[in-house]
Amino acid sequence: MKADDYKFLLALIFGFFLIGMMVLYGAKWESGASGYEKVNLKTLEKLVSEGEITIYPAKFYKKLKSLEEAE
Amino acid sequence: MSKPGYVQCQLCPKGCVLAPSERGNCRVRINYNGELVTLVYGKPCAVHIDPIEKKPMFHFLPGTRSFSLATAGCNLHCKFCQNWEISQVNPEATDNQDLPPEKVVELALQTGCQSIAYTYSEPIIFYEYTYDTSLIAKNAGVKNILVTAGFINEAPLRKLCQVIDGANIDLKAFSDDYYREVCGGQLEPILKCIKLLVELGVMVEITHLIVPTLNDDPEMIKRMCEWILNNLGPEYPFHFSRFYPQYQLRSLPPTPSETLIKAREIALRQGLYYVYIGNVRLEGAENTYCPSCKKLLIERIGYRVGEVNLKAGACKFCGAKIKGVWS
Repeated sequence: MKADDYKFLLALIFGFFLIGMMVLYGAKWESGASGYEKVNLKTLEKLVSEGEITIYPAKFYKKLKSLEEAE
Repeated sequence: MSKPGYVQCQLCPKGCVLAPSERGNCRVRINYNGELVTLVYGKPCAVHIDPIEKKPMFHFLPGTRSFSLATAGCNLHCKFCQNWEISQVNPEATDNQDLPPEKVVELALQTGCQSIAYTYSEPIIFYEYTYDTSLIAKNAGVKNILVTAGFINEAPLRKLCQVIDGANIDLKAFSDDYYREVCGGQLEPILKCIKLLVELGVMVEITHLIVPTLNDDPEMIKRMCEWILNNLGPEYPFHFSRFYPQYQLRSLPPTPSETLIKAREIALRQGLYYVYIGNVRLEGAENTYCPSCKKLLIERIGYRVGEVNLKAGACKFCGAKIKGVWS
């Protein structure tokens, strides 16, 4: 391969990398944050037993049978 | 038994769709085995007794004290947040007190507070705690105040308005781009919230924090004032607040006094009756003047109230009715 071919290949890889980053961060921005954090329920339950936080029923939500039901 | 499934929170326009064990964008609501729960009910991380002028509520029981509380979390993520140490952290990371609703009301009464303010972070995200406390307070003759960004859906807001007496809404800009880029929110739901609060009889005051170079455009401030005038009328108090470098915007300078004075002039020129400047001491900029005879109605020095020339909610000199909750 010629030197120019290497440069072209590198530019191509870099281009794909940039597009990938744009798609990834664009999706995160659209969701309003960086996705949803997974919590450790055992840790939370321990904090509840220590009186640090509560686990109290929230109002204004709906259970979804499928993700298509989301508004 | 079926596996716990997804839930969608319908409290605010973000509408977080959460898989089991996932935490919502506000940090305090999680999908707990297929049910949405709040982690902060009865667990405030900030509790103080403040002058009501600090909220700021200038047309609401002036000179009284407000029992003020907040939990961790917020559904917006403003880069300039002044309370980011509690609003942008999980409730597991804050030092929380055990203060159930009835205890809050009891303490408010004991300490001579005529109101309870749900403030500092964002009362919408501790909705259940705010609502239950407000209901008990209302029955005990204590008034309730929200200090909020107003990013809430219509149904929960309508229910909350049944127990709320006053609200200071932080109108961060009159630009959807600003809301999306700087705060992680949207403008339209905030405007809807303000209109609904007024429609449902809540005493509303609006605060606009002016951040240099980001939301200090005089044209935008003019459009904001026009919207207030056309949708609410001239009688709702409007506060311009000085920005101090905080959180992710530490590189910006504090708002120059001239910018605040100019903004106030624009608002008054547009026809708003009561326009104030806060977070900085500027001669006369916190006083209330009668829109009819222009005489001094309420003198304020910082959070302290001086001369008051109101009689039964009207100007003592000319009798003009002044918008507010005065008793």
